[in-house]
Amino acid sequence: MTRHLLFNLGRSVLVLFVVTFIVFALMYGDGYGIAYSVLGLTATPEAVEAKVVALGLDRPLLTQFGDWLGGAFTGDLGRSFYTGQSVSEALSTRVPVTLSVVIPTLVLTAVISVLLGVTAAVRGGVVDRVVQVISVGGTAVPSFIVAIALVFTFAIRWRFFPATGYTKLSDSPTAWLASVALPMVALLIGAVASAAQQFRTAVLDTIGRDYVRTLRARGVRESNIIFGHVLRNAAAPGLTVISLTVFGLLGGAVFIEQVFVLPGMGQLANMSAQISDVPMVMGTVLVMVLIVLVVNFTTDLAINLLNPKARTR
Amino acid sequence: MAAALVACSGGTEAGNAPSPDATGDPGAGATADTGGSKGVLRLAMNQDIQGWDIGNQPGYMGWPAEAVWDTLFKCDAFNELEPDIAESWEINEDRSGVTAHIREGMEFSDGTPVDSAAVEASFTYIKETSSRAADYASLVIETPDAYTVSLTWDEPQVTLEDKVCAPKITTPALIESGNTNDEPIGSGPYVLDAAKTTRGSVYAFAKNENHWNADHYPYEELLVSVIESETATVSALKTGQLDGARVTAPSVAEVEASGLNTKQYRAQVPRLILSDRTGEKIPALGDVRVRQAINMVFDKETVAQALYLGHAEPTAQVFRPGSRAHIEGLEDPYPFDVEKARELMAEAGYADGFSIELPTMTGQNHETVLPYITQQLAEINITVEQVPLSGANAIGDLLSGTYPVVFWELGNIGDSAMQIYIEATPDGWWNLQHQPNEYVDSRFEQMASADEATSEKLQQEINQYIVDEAWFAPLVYAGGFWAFTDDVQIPTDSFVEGLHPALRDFK
Amino acid sequence: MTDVATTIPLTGDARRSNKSVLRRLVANPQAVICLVWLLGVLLVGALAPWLATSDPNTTFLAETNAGPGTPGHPLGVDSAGRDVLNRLIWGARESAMAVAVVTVVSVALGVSTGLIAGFYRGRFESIAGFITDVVLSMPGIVLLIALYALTGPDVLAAMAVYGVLLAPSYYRLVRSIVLGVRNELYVDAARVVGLSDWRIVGRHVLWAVRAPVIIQSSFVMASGIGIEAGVSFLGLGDPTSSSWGIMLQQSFNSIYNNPILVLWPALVVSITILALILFGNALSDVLQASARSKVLPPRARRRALAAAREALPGPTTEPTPLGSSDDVILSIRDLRIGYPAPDNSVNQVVHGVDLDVRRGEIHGLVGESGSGKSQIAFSTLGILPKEALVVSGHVMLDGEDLLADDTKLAEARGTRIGYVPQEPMTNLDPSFTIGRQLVKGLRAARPMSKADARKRLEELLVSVGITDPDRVMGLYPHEISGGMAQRVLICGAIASQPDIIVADEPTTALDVTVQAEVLEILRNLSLERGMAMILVTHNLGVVADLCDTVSVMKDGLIVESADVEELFSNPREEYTQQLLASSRSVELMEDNDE
Repeated sequence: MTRHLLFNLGRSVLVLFVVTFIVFALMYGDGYGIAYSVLGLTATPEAVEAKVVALGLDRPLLTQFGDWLGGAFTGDLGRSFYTGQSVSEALSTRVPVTLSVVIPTLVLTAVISVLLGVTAAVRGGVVDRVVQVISVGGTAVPSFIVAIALVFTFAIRWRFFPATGYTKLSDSPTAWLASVALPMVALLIGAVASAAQQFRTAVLDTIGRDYVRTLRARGVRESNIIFGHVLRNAAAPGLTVISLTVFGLLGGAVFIEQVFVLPGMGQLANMSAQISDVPMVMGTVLVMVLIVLVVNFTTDLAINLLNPKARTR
Repeated sequence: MAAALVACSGGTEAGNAPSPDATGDPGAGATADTGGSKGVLRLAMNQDIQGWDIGNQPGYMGWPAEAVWDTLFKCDAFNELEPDIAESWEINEDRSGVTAHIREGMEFSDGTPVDSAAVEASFTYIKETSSRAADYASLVIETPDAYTVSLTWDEPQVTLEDKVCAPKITTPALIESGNTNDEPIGSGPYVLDAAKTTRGSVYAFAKNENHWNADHYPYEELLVSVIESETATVSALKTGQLDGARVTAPSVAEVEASGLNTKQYRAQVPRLILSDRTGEKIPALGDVRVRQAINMVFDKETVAQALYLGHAEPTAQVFRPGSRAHIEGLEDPYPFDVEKARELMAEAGYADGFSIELPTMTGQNHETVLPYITQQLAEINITVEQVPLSGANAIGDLLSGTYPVVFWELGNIGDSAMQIYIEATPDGWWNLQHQPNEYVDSRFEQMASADEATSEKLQQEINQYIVDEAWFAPLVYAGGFWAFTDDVQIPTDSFVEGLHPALRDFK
Repeated sequence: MTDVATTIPLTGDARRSNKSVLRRLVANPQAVICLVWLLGVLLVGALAPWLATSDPNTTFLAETNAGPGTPGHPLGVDSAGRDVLNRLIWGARESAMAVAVVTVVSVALGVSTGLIAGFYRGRFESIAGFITDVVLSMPGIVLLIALYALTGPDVLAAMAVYGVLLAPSYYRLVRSIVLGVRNELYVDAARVVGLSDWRIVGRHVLWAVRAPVIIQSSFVMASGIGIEAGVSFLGLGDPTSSSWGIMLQQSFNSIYNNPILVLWPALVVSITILALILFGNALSDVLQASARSKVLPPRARRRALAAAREALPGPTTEPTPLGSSDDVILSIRDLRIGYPAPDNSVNQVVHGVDLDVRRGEIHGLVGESGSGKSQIAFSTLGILPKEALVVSGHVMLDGEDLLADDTKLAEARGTRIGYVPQEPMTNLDPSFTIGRQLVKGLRAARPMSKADARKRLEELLVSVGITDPDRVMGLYPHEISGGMAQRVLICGAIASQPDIIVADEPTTALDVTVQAEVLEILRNLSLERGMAMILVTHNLGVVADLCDTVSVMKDGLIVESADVEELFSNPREEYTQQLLASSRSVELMEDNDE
């Protein structure tokens, strides 16, 4: 198993390298445009020229990427072209905002969709059909449309929650909860819709296995079969579902942060990319890809630990 | 964009004093009155500031800069000088410079004194590194003593006031260190509260009780949130998370219905800029009849009603009422008349029209107005191809002269001389092709050393010329609105661009 | 039910004609409604220049912000003075274009690479696998935003990149199907016949991947609609366009001024996505799941059963045991089993079977696959699939009707009736050790302490020829061979000392030498313990070897039932004769293979 994990780790590092390079290459372009945009309307050609050199935008793509990569290795992600703010500093305030929405949503998604998915698969009938309808409906309406609807009903009409903005958990837990409640619900609906469906499939798939039939034939009680065997074996595909949910939530956060004006990293990425603030974009990309890879790796590890075949190898 | 509204716990309650205070007097020097001090003032800006470099601070929504830095002078809504760091001053006879006497006893937030050395260092920094370096190229700074500084250019300056008001004053040590972007050091009425600040999202400031004019700023705390989207701004206003923000006409009814006050800042003239007046890129535009015809195809009255929801009025000139260049009672020489416009096009030999590329950008209200403009230009066979601009290059492309016709909701500046400089002289960046014009340029030159009356006459001549020559196709006289709660009073208006209140206007 | 069937559920259906797929789609109201909407959108998009009353950006200044129902503007006018319905019509065109780009790019990339990787494997597959990992690790939406800096507000470019990001979903789907099909008999056969690779791909593989790709595409299209709207909503769209996403974004900006505007694009976007998802589901029902029966909801189940019983030939009679009733341990009477057909009627697979097994007797149940023999075996244990319907019949164990009484059935299951499954490896839970599974099974049947159970099982394992039971009980299923797994399963079946064992093709999945050993074990057990046995098999050799009596099944009926010697020496039915003849030739072939 160690070999398998080491191989995966190496692969993850390579993926990280390739992904960051692709995004860097996409962003690479008109250094003068960036300098002009940084300096503003009144910039003279000389000032623009000086800025291009100061930002190092006159160098070839590979040199620039090499520099960035070298810095990233030593923990220096550079500074924003525009605000001069250190990227790590920006991320240290932005990432917690996103995570403070995404992590509770993930936990809720996992709990709710496991309950729904398992019940639907085991009980079938009405529960199953209700879950199916929720799933289809939840995936059909894009999360930002849900978000808009939520803002209008709960924040503006009924004033249960603030419409926009974010309060740090450390400043006031209740205010934090109020500020992330609607974004969480907006993300939750879509996430539960797809995860519950996948959990249902995973459990149904396991229930259909031959050994479940054999256990039944041995006279083992149904509840014992479900909790002792089916859920145990559906755990691995279940973990994969959870890891996919993480990616979905990260992507969804970009839209949700836009609607609710949350100062998270999705918003930072969007804002920075639109003005070609390369170091900022690279910083957020790095964090997102790292999260994806760490989640993948952990999922893989957990699945391996669950699977005796891999464990004993 | 972002708005982490740290101090607000989500309801409609706020830390504001319940009653509006009584100090409506804009003049300084009211006695310190703790009863008149208020809690927190929460504003929204729709664009983040680009760090704390003194050479890179926006005027538009520049409350953070106004909070942390003093300037040598403050300029009022018409760019008249007012005291700030300078207690008194003398302008050179030929308007080539000014000598300022610095208020004694002022300190920067790091405890060092505000003196002529600081002023010199700051102006030198602007002269050498900022994007406005060209404006200060010939500036000579002299500091005969610690509290006197004289600033002299090599020739008379039309926009002298703007140039001496603009630079923020910081410490020589900070400039020396090179870390100008990281945090501000100033002597302004507020001090940045780094702990409560999230860059790109919310900036928090605490009142500087030692400020020379502290009584003028009643709020103990200032929070400026970055909220890009207007819908989000309105949501925040409605739910009581903001005390004031700029909104556009379509949102006015909504915020008023929620019990907020609004005040219009009519400081923009949305217009087509017909900058290719010599026909360099598009020969047809070199013919004044074509430019006049373009002016005639727009039904300005209906535009004001339908697209600006009645919060605008038709105009033929681009200068603000009250400014020197504005001509009172100017009749629109180009009333809505498509037939007449077609005749003019035919006379000019362009009955079959021509085609233009019209750049558009998101977030500029273009999507509301451009469809109509496109449609009306088609009436005289001018085909419009809209070119969306985006990304870092957008502003550069827009101003590069690539597009001889541009639609923009351009502001009109209280200091009309400056507006002439920006929009009509060869150096002006909104004179997109930078084409010189003898009539305008010679008068602009005379303005530099002219007295007020002469300057006014020259400016009105230029205005009349621009209208006659149809350099623009102005639509309406419009502008944004300031929406604010009952707790806030705005008795004065000090911002030269007239787009919103300045920080010192909030009471 | 085997692995092949679950990994390539489509090979069978793929050969069905388009016509019947269409007919079944049309019979599905959900599919029809969705299809009508989707075709409507496409048609509206295609005919936009004729349907729309004017250009999407035509302004009606005087009616700016007019509400729905304004004469001439059924859905109202937006805040720039443009007719909303008009823009929706033109938007259908733009959205359809965007979706077409996503789909074409992702299908072209994903399907082609998936085909190559699945068919040739090797280095291409590992490289493609790595690229898939890279693409799946891309923060997709950030990439689209970064792209914006490069291409500007070009939705089609963004959609093409999004297509690339979605390609892995096709790649994985197609690759796994091709891997399955590749090893399928008919491709092997095609290779032997000498078809070129491309002809194999064209003839068999493309045929097999077609349906899942179409189904996947409907979901990809749904996400394309969503992402177009999302990207535009973030402000990355072309502001001059009238796509639904741009309409959403622009109306969101003026939502306070004219809130109803946001409703129309939000509705068409949501309904179109919904239609695509539901259509995909319906399609997958028709193309994939219809081969398997669905579980009927209780009411439909009762109705189907009632209708099926109504249609029975005569009144069902009370069970009258054949032969001496003392001797008979298990007696099946008039057993009819069916599965729901797509129209909710019952499709019978067992048509009234009578069967008696005496104490200590090994009764062979032979027939071709699909003749219903496993169904009979499962029904005695009450482990028929959930969707199965027992139309009529009785399973009498020692005179008690198990089918009539669920508690009796539950008591007998595992305790008095043991079960030996067909495929040893898939019938052990891979997550637990052999010991734990055996102990659990035994204690479910006979309450006893863990230690006692373990002791008894160890003895049994020795008796089935496992010399080191202690070690084996600590192993996981993947660590033992098929033959050993089958011994373990036999132990599991006999541990509770049942009266009768139902063995469902117990040797089919084993290789020949092991088969003989397992048969030997079964025979000895039966002799030593006096257990009766129903041995389900298609192998007449096994029957001859092991059985006392035998019943021959065909199409859900027992056509002949007799003692083994009699049946082999003197088959009465023509079908039995055919069966005997063909089995000899198969044995000949197998012998040649070895």
